[in-house]
Amino acid sequence: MHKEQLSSLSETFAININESIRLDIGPLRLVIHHEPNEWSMVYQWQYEEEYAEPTITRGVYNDFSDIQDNLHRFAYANHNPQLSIIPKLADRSIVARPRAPFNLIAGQSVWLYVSSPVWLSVCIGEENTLLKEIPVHRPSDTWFGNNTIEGEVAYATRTHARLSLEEGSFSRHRAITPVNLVNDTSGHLLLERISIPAASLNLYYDTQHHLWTSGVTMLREADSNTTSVKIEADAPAQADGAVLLSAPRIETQRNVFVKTIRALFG
Amino acid sequence: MLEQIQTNLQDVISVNMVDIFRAAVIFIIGLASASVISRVVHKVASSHWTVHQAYITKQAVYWLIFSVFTIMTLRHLGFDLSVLMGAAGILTVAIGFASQTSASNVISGLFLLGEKPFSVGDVIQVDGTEGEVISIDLLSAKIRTFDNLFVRIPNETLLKTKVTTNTRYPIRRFNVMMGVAYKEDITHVIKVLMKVADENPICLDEPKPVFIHRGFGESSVDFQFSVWCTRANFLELRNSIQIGIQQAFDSENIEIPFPHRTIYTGAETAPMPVSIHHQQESGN
Repeated sequence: MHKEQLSSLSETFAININESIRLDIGPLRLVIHHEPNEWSMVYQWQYEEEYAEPTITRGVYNDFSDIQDNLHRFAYANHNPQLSIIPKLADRSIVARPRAPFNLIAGQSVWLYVSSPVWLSVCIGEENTLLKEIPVHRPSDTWFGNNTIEGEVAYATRTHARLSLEEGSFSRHRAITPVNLVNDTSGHLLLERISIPAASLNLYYDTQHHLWTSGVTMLREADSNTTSVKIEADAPAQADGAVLLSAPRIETQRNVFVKTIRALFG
Repeated sequence: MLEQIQTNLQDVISVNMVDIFRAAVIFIIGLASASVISRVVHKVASSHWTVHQAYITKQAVYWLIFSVFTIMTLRHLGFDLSVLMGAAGILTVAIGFASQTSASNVISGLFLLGEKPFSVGDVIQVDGTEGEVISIDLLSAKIRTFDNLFVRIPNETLLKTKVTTNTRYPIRRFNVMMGVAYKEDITHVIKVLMKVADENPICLDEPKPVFIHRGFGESSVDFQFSVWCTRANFLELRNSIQIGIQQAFDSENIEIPFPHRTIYTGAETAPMPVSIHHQQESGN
């Protein structure tokens, strides 16, 4: 068994027949095994011992008895040993709730850094045929709407809602969304929760191995009950040497859309 | 005598073979057009309306075209339609009396069509029957129950009784009704319950879980703990949240009491003697 640190969450491996790898990324333990005409994988989330730095262990794991619940088998016709993991953003919006609500003072504009869990696409072959997508951390479901009749199902995440980027403050397995909050009204804007349109954002990787999403600008306009949301087309300026990892799951025609204030902030 | 009858018949129905042929052609064209046009209408209606509405529209179009062509056929055959209409009127009254229930169901079906309390694919509860609606027809709705039984419910019943549509809204609430022993710290119980809900990924973060104190029962402090989930996850949440609560209570030593009975033997009698025996483990 040979354990080493994973330099990036976007990696391609060669796994020969009867070999396996084990990936420990945050709370996720993922074991992938290659057999003749078959790939099998098991995974589980172990919150008791999270791995701050993603690691890979090579060896032969074919005893999945301890994590049998999530065993998945995939049959295929050739013996290509190539296996790739590609990080992706969530397929729904992420509703981030700061651990303590805060007010944005009237006329002010700040950068807020919200982190959200990523999904790993496990793909095989040259064509990157998708086997399965697994979230590094399975976030809780939540409902985002003005009432229990109209709204959308989203993922909930607790966030520190950091106002500055400190070294080591973000996990390697979470994507950081820089949100530019602009309060053009004459009153304070209470921020209890914020909805990030994760499915419409690009995912980038910077030179420090941090994952970033497209930047989002949320403008609360004066004398209006609406907030305009703008998704930045370019990589965020905070991400040094950003490289595009994955395109949005939902291609939006417009990168600016207007929502009612209650639909975005709590 | 025979000649007389023949003349009368010829007066009433003055037809010849050519007319019969023409009438047959009209009737066949009518059948074909009713079938084709109603199918086209159904296809167009399906993309805009519900399955039920599209079906009723298709039926209406079919029978309208069929009736028009039938009348044309009869006229071509020389039938006097005013006589036929009179007879039809009397027949309608007779049939009406005979088929009150069916007519009531058809009219109820039309009201249901306008009101749209549920559609095909919804899960509904009617008179203790719960299941998925597989079709809504002119006389009745058909339901497949979860134990895979086919239930036919007349439209009239659906209009008269309380119908609950489980799948109307995207999220649902599940109420856990339970109680804990009087010795338990209720604030600690609330914290444990909230933690169980927080750790269950299919339990919605918002709307928040609700704790409702339901009073002091005979043997326990009774409460309701309500959690929300998407309607697709309802059954899974129903199991996982209750299993989670029981496991959390076990690990926190929170007692879910069995019913208690205090037996009193009366004022005149001495208390019942109770003795507790500790069984010592062998080898100590």
